[in-house]
Amino acid sequence: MTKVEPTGSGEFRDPLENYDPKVYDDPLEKALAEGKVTDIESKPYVEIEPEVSVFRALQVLTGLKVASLLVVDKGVLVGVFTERDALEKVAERYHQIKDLPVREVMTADPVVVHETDPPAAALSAIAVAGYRHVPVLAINGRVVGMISPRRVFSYIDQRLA
Amino acid sequence: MGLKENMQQELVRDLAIRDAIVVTADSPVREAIALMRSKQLGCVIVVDPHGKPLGTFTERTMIDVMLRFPQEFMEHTVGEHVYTSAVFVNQSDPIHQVWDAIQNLGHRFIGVVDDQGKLIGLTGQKGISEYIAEHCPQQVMVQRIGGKPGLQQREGA
Repeated sequence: MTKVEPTGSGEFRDPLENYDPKVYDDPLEKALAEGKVTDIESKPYVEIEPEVSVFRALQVLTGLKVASLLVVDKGVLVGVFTERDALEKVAERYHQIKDLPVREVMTADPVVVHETDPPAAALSAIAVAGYRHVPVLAINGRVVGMISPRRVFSYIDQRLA
Repeated sequence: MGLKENMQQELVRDLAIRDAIVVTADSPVREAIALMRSKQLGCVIVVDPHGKPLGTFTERTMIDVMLRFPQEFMEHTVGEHVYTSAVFVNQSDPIHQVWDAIQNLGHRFIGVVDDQGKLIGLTGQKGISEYIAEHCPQQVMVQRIGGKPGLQQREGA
């Protein structure tokens, strides 16, 4: 049997021997950095198909008292339709576009977080990037939830020392 | 100091406060929508002729009015649909009052007034989320948004 010896002079040194995992004084910082997005409540959420009319999408928003809808085509997230979309793209042209499919006015390719991301990623999407509704995707790309500021705040509230 | 203690000791004036859009109650919905769009803000503050806040008119209210009065909603006045349970805090109040209004009352927008009750701006979910991000910059500010999913398990040993 061949014995493998470290090459070079001197004894083998583990390059990570001086690495110490970060120690957090604040449990909130630890949770944001080392938890998972899935620790944040991300359900319920509402899905609609892209061919649903703008009028119907508005009805769903108000009827369910939600601020956003996930637009999903054959299981794949293709956009979100939010109260802001209604303001920006619908209100002043309501009569012309209320019967068009919602895909015409949705926000396509929305910013998402993945279930393996830390909670800090969701907070960053909201606080830094400025998105109020952040879909949560599984590794395989399927939608598993929707995160809003209130849901992040509830997560934080439970971890305030 | 932890976030909870900070929110009890620091004041609303330390939050990011946006300029509010102010309209009088007799302003048409059309004007409120145009202002919200131009300022990219989801609500206007409705005030009386003396400048005293009466409440808010929000994106959500707008959608509700649009569906209920599809033919003439643009010509309604905001005063017909003002949300009078809106929350206003003093700029000298502790930040936790904004937090409580969001968490316990479900408000998104919180008006900020001075000691004379005069409106000076708007904060709310956005202001609080930015405040928390600044409290935990090493965790929040370093995130890469919109990237590929991370690995479910670490690579290698």
